[in-house]
Amino acid sequence: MNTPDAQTEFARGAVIIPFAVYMIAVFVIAWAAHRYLRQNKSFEDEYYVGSRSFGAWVLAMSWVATMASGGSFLGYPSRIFSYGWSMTLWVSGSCVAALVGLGVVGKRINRLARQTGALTLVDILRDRFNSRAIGFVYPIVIVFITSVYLLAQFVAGARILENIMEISYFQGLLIFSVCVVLYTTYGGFRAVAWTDTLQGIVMIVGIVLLVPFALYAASGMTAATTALSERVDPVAELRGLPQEKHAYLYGPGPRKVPGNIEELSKAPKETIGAEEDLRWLPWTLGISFFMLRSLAAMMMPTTVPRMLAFKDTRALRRALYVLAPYILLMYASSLITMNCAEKIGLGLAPHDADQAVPELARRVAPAWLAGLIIAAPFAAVMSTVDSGLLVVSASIVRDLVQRNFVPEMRQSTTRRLSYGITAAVGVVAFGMALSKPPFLQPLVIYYGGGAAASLFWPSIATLFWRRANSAGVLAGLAGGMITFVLFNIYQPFDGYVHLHAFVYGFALSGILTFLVCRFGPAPSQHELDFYFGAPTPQQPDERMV
Amino acid sequence: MPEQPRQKYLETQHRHVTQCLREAWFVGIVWFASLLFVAGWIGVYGYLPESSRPDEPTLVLGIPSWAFWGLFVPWLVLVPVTWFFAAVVLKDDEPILPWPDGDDEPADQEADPS
Repeated sequence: MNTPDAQTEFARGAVIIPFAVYMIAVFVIAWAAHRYLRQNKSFEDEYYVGSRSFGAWVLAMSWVATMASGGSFLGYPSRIFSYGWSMTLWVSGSCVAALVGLGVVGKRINRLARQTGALTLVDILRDRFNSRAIGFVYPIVIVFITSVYLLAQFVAGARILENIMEISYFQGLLIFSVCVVLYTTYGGFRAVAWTDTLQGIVMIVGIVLLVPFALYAASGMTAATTALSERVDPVAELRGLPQEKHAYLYGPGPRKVPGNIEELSKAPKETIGAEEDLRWLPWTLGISFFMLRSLAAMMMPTTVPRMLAFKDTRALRRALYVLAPYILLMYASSLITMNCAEKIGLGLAPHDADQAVPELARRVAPAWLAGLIIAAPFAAVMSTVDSGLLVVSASIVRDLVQRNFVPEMRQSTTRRLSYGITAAVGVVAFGMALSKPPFLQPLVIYYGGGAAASLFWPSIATLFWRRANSAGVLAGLAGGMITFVLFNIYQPFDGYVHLHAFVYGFALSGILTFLVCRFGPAPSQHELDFYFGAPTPQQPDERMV
Repeated sequence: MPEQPRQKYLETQHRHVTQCLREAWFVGIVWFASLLFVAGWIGVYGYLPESSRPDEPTLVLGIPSWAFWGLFVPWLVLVPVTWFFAAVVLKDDEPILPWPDGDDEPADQEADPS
């Protein structure tokens, strides 16, 4: 029992046991949620919005667990591991994420959904303008960007299992996919929200618990930052560029790690060259990330269903009380722990940065606690995947098929189709994840950027602007999405100013939405009365909305 | 359609929209102020050219001082600001009234949306 092999085996078992307990809890919750699904008269109402009955705690935890994905618990910490304190501006937009994410549109969406019986955001938009075109284009955009997100999360889930169970990437991906697709398909939205609540608790406990262990292992924050100030930039070294003084302590940070770093590090030095000298985060790019991280929280396709599902304003208010400190603790904890990583010495190559959190947990925490800490990013990944699966399923079954082709679909058909599509989307995501993209966070940012660039202004106009019309909403949606995709590929202005592609898409979407709505056909009086009402006759000026 | 339920519906819906807009404005102002402060502070103190960087960077609790004052402190302030929004600015929603019967067909005439 005292041989090194036996000790390693014991430690591995100690890591897996709390992890296994967590997984069992997830399945028990899904089973309980499925009982609700069987008892409820309206399958769709229960499967997609949990009968609109969620209180503060479930709203808060399920919103944050869905918003904070594997990106927040693996990708973002891996970037801190790679770029040090220069990540500060990158994450700064999260300081207003709760306020912006729920405070602007939460109440309005919830009320309109109740008034119109909407099960998805697309229902609300389509019904306001009575537009089939919106009913087609909106869900297609949502399916596209959510699929990218799902791919990232499947990769993250597989990598965690690869690390914790010491199995191959393929085996990790298979186990992860089967687990998450099973409980999501089986339990529907209520299972997703309840498991999100458990996952939200596991996430915050895990990530906060890591802080004292990391600080202890690094002999304090001051020692950790001092060690970081002397860190050698591996990309500069590889390319033969000069090392910059305190590159990890100031913006714009060290050189950007290229996607092909693994091949570069194996290539002969004379073949590499110094032609690319990109810094990690120029200030203007940092501002883009502030905007992206705060504004994307509002209209993420995966978080919007929560706004249709809470029961009243009281639940929303209490959720905000919980979320404000929660998000601070979540992101600040990673800034502290991962900036200790250099002093602790994880020994990871730059291309293995996504393994930084599990590796740190294994290094600094006792084995039994490491299991819980590693369960935190896994919980974040699962809670996002289950929501993503349901969003894509709802977009296909409800928004594309039912609303456009079979409005009187039988409940049993809806049930079978929903189960089938949810499972099928999981299988497709599994297939895409087999390609094993090298870095997780760019895919997550692609999702957030795409959502904010294309969905933000059209949705805001629909909810708040009397003058909005379907042409303006479609123009903003298509213009934002196309610009975002093209600017991501070609980056035409990067030689002049470094802004994220999202900024261009976001700006053009806003301009198009405004212009086409302003000069396009006016809405009917009936539409305005239903959605905006009218002031009492004594207060005519208040009608300016 | 009876005039009273219709008028009541219109007024209730209007009060809901007006209140939602008030809340959205509050959030918008806080968001913009946060952007100005955080990006400004970090831009001035956190993006020093290599030649201006001190040999021993100033730390607060082991954190570079620009990150401490430019992110951690405003974030700590924004927590009570969010609580203030939830407690004071965010009002309970108006009751949802049914759309009065007999007027469920969209009107043909265009409206003045201003």
